[in-house]
Amino acid sequence: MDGDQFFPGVQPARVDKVHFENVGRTKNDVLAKAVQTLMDCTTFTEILLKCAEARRQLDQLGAFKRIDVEIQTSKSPGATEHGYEVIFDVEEKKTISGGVNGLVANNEGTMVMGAQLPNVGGRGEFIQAQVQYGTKHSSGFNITASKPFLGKRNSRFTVAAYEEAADYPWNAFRERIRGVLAEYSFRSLPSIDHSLRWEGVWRELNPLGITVPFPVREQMGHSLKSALKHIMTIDTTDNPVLPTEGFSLRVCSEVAGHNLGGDIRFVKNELEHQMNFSLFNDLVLQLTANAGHMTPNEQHNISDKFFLGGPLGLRGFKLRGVGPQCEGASLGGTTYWSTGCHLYSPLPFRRGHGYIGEYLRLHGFVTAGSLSEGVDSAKLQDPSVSAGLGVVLSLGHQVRIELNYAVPLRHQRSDRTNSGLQFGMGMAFL
Amino acid sequence: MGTTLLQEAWAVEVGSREPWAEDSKLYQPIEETQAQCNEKAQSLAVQSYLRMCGLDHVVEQRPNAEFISPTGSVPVLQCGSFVLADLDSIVGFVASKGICLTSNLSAAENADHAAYFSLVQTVFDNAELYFSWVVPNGYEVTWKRYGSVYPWPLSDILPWSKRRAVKRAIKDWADKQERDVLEEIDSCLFALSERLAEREWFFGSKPTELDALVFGHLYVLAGESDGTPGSKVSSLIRKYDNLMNICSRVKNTYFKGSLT
Amino acid sequence: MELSIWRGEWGLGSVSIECLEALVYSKIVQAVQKIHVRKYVFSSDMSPWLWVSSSGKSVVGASSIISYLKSENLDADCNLTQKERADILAYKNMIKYKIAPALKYAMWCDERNYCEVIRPTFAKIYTFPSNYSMPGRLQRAALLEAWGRFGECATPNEMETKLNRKARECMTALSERLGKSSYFFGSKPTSFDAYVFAYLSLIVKTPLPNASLNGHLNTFSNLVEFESRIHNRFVASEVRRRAAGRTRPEWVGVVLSLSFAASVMFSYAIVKGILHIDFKTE
Repeated sequence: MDGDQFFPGVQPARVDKVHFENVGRTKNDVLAKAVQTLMDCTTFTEILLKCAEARRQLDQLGAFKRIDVEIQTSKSPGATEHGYEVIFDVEEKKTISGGVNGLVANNEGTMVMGAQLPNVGGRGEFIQAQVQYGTKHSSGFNITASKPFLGKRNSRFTVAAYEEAADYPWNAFRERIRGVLAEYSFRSLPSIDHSLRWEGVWRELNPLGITVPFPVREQMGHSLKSALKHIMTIDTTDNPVLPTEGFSLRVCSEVAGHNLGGDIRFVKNELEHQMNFSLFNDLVLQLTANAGHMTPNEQHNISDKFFLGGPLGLRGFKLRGVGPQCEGASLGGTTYWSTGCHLYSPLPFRRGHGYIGEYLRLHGFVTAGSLSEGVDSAKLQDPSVSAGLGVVLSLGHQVRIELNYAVPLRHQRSDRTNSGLQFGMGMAFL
Repeated sequence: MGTTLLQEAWAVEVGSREPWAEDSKLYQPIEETQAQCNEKAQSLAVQSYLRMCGLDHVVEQRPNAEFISPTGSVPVLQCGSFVLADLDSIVGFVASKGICLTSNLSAAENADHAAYFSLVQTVFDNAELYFSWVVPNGYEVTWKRYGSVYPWPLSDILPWSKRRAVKRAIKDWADKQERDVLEEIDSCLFALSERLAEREWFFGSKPTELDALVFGHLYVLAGESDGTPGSKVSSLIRKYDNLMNICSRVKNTYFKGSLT
Repeated sequence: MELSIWRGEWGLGSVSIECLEALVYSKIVQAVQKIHVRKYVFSSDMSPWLWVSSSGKSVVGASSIISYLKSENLDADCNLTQKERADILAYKNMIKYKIAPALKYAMWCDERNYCEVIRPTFAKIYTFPSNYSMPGRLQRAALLEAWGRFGECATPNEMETKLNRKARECMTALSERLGKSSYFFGSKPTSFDAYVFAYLSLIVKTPLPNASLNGHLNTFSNLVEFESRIHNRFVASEVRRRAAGRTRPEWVGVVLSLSFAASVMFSYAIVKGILHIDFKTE
C-alpha cells in the first residue's frame, strides 16, 4: 500500500474490484465474505480501514502464510471515476505439516509427534493431531478440529479428544485423563472474549509412592466429569508475561453434574484480576487478586479442588503447600483467595527499553492468600503471607521464569513453607 | 502398585512398635451390588481371621475399594497409618504385633500349613476369577455388577478393561475349559477333605488362618444361587460333609448370627 | 517306549522343566528304553513326547506322560496314602505358584541374565531361523505374564524381590518337609520328587549372573543335596552319554567359517575385477 500519498478522508472513492492472487484451496465464498464490506466504501480512508479489517479476518482463517494488500486506481474497462482495485496477494499454507520432537523432563524421555492439516476444507478449518509417547507413563494424545466463522464476533467452533497423564508428587497421586470437549468461542464487545465449552472427562487417579496418606488414598479410582464451563476474558495488557500497563480479568464458571451426566457434581466460580500501572523511571506496579469458590460437600474429588502456593503463586511456600495438608500431601480446598503486589524495575545497569530490559526484570513482591475447605471465615481471615525479591525472565513473551528469594511472613501450622531461593517456570502467575 | 513390598516391610518393621489400633477399618466393595465372588470370599476370610485373633475392626463398603488397595486386591485393612491388602500380608502384619495362630505348630506342620494355604489361595481365587470374568454367562453378571458404581460410558469401558487385565493375570487358567476348572476345584476339595479328616480344625486344636481362608471361600462359593456358573461349584462343595461342617463351625463360633 | 526331550545345557538333563520331570519319572519307573534329544526345534512348546512303539501312540506333556505311565502299571506313587496324595497336590501347587514364577522371572525377565546366558543358549538350541525369533518371543511372553501379575508400572527390582520372597517361603516349606530323609514321601522316589527336582535342578545348574534365586536355595542344604542325589542317580548318566556322543569338534566349525569367509572375499574380488585370473593359451 502506498503510505506516502495523502487523501483527505472525505474524498469520494469506491472499490470497483477486489482481486485475489495465488489462491488455491481456499473457497471463494469465505473470501467474498471477508472482503464484503469493502464494496460499500465511500471514502479512501474507509477503504484503508476496511482493508485492514479484511486482512485481519483473512488472517483469522489461519489458511495463509503471507497476506499482502495492494490498492490501485482502477484501470480496467468499465472503471468508474474514483474507482479503485484492491489486490490481495496471498500465500497459502502447505496442506500438511508435522514434526517429531524429543524432550527429557522429570527423569523421563518423551517423544512428541504432531501433524496439522491447515485449511483442510478450504474455509479455514484445521485438524491437528499430536501423540506423546513417554518411556514411563506420560503417554497421551490430542486431536483437535476447529472451524472459524468470519464476522464481527470472531467466533470459532472447536472439538477435541485427548488423553494425558501426569504425576502430582505434592498430592501423592498420578492422574490419567481422557476427555472430549466442544467449545464455542466468540467476542461480545471489543476485547471481551467468551468461551463456552462442554467437557466430558474420565479421570483415573492412582496412588503415587509408598506412603500415600489415607485421605488421598481413599479418593483414588475412576470418575467421570461432565461439565459446562464459561470463561470470560478481558485483556488490555500490553504483554502477557511482563506487562507495563493495562488490566486483565478472567471470570470462569463451571457446572459439573446436575443433569449433565457423570458422577462428579459441583458448581465452581473463579475470578482472576490483574492491574498494571507504569510509574516513574520505568517502574511498574502490578496488583493481582484471585479468588475461587466451589460448592463443598458435593460429589467431587481431589483433582477438582483449588490449591495454593508455589514459586509462581503464593511464593515462599512449596508447590500447593498452603491450606489443608496430610502427611506432606496437600488435600486442597473449596474456597480460596490470594493477592499479590509486585514492583518491577529494569536491570540496574541497562536502563530503558533495551532488548534485555524487555525480557528480564527485577521485582519485589508481597503475596498473601488463604485456602480452606468450605467457607471457613476464621481461616480465610488469617492468610499466609510472604515477601521477597527476585528476577523475572520472559521466554518469548509466553513463558515466565522466576528466580526469587522469598520469606514467609505468616503461615498456618499446616503450611509447608519454602524459605529461601525458589525457582519457578510457567504460564500463569500471581 | 508395585510399591507394596516396601510398604509391607515397613509396616512389619514399624508396625510392631504400635499396638493394634482400636478403630481399624476394613474396606471392601459394596457387598450387595458390586463385589465379585472372589472379593466377597477374601473379605470374609480376612474378617474371620481378625475375629479368630480377637482384633476389633469395622467393615466399611466403598465403591473404589479396589483402588484404595495398594495391590489392587480387596479387602483393604487400615490400621493406624498402615494400609494393607491380601490375607498373607495381613497375617504377617498381625504377627508383628505378637499375635500368631500357628505358633504352636511344629516346623513340619508349618510347612504343610503353608502348602495348603497356598493351594486354597491359588485354586479358589483363580477359579472364582474364572467363573466371574472368563465364563461368558458369568461375565454377563459381573459386567453389570462391576459397572454398577460408574456412570455411562465408564460402566461399559471399565468392566471390559478389567476383564482383559484379569485374563492376563490368570493366563494359564483363562485358557482352560470349564470342565478342567471344575476338576481342579474338585481335586483341591478332595485334598482338603482328606487333610481335615474328622478333626475340628485343619492344624492343631485351634483355628488358623487356613481355616479362615477355607471358610471365606467355601462359604461364599457354597452360597452361590442356582443358575449361576458358581452353582456347579457349590454342588461340588456340598459333597464334602467335613468341609461343610468346618464352615458352619467357623460361622457359629465367630459370626454369631451376623451372617445370613 | 521312547522319550523325546529338549536337550540340556550347563550339565542339566534338559533345559525344559517338563522334559526334566518326564525324564526323571521315566528313569524312576525304568520305563523308557531310548531317550532322544530333539535335534530340530522350532516352536516354543517345551513339552516332552513319549512314543509308545507297541501301540504306535504318542503322549505329549509331562503330566500326561506320567499319568499314562501310571495307567500302564508303572506307578511310583502306589504306596502313598490318600493324605500324602493330598499333601502332594498342595505342595505341587505351591511350587507352581511360588517357585515357577520366580524362576521364569530370573531366567527370562532379568535383563542381564537373559542377555548373557539365556538368549545365547536358546539361540543355540533352536534351529535356524527360529533361533532369531523364538528367544525374544519367549521373553516377551514371560514379561507379559509378570506385568499381568504386578501391573506395568512395577519396577524390575520390586518384582524380583517379591517373587523371590515367595519362592523362599516355598523353599522353607519344602526343606522342612524333606527334613533329613532322602525323598519327600517315604523311602522311594515318587512323582513328586521328579517334580521338585526339575525346578531345583534348573535353579542350581543354570549359571545366571544374577543368581539371587540360587542364593536363596543354597541356604537350604538338604534341598541342594536332594537335587544332586536325584541328578546323580537318574540324570548324570544321561548327561555323560550325551557329552561323549558330541560329534564335530570345535575346530571344524572354525575352519568351515574361515573358508566360507575366504571364498566370499575371493569371489567378490573376482566379480569386481580387483583380481584378474587370466588363462593364457599359447
